[in-house]
Amino acid sequence: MIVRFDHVSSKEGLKDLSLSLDLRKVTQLYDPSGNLAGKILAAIAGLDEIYSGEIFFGEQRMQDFLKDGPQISKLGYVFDEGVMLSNLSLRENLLLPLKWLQPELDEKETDSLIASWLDAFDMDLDMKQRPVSYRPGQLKLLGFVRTLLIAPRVLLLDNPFYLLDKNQRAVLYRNLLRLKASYPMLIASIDDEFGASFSDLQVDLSRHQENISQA
Amino acid sequence: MTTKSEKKSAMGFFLFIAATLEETFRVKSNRHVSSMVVLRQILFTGYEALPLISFLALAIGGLVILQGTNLLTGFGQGIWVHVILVTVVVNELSGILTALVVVARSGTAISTELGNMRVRREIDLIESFGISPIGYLVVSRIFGVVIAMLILTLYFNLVAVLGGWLFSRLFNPLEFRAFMNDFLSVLKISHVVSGILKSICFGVIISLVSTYHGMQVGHASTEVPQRTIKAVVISIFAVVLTDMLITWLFWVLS
Repeated sequence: MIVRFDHVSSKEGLKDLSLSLDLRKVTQLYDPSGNLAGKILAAIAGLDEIYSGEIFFGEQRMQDFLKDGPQISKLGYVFDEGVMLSNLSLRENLLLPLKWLQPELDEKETDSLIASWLDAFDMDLDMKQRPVSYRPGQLKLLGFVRTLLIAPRVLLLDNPFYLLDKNQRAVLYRNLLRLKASYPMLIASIDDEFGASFSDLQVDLSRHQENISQA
Repeated sequence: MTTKSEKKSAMGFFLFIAATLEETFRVKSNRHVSSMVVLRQILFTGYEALPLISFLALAIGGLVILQGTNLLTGFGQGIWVHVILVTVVVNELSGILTALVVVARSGTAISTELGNMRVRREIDLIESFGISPIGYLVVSRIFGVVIAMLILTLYFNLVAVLGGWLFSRLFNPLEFRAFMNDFLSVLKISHVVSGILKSICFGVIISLVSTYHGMQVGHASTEVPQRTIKAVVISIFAVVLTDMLITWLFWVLS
């Protein structure tokens, strides 16, 4: 599927942006300014308010695409920061989108799935604790787990290595390599070396810097 | 003169009300509305406010009887002190004072909580799941505040009447049954209806204004207290204006 920006201007600062991106492969949005790629991902995930222009998924307008079935089963957006709902426990945070998708969720089965993903990310956390008890890097990896539990069609990764220490970066890279075979990804990153070695396509956003304004 | 930003803000508020109404009317089929959030809101707004409401109601009921007795016995009309209790407390003060307590405790809490959620990008997170933040965060809180407001106002009236009786015993060793008989003889159904209507309207106003301002916070944490102050000021204005309007309506109808 191709996502196409057609003269899009938005609340978060996109300015008359026209661009096509392939969501069937692993694509890196290389953005030396570190500003535009994240905003493009947020707009694709429906987190921006579009003032003018249109975003198309294939031939469908964005509004129709997002209304056509649950959004989370299509686009799995992983925030650059480990965003969690602070009033819920870690387990409740992981289950929230799943329960929304499947109200009759088998929680025991899901708990074992959560355990296997935590194992894959080398994490041993007390899932009854609130997010405030853990470091941002750990919450970020937990954000990956939350998205992978849903198994969306496409992963949208905003600066995947931001906030991670050396070990966590290695763990994430190992998992991304494993996931690459089964998931198309759109990755916003300023790391061109990572992009060159990992992604199928690199889109250099340097020439689009006039398409961003301060919101 | 209305500025451009004020016009934009007013329009934004009406759009917010429209979106909230849409989510509210779909409440049965709306999985976004969380019964747990409603219950927690009732617990916080209602149950946890009981000590303060009890103190205020006892004091106000007592003070009205105290002042009323002082004033009316001078004219030999001490029997009419119950009329004052009904008119002043049941008709006016219970709704207004309960609303002020709810604004001070829950309005500020809701606005701050939602504002902080916006700053921490938790609302973006909910949106990224395709869950409506208005359905999940706003409608549940509106239900919680309205139910709690209704219960608190009724409770305020009961405790104020009790306080009135306790204070009236200082001047006149009146039996509770006799006091209540006098009280009920001047209480009309219209007083009860207007009290219920007011408390529902106040609950809707406080929760709508507070949630709107909480959701309007941008990315800066400094906006949270600014929006909370706005929510409090506008809520108080709107509550007093609505109180005057409903009182006037009932006065015209009667």
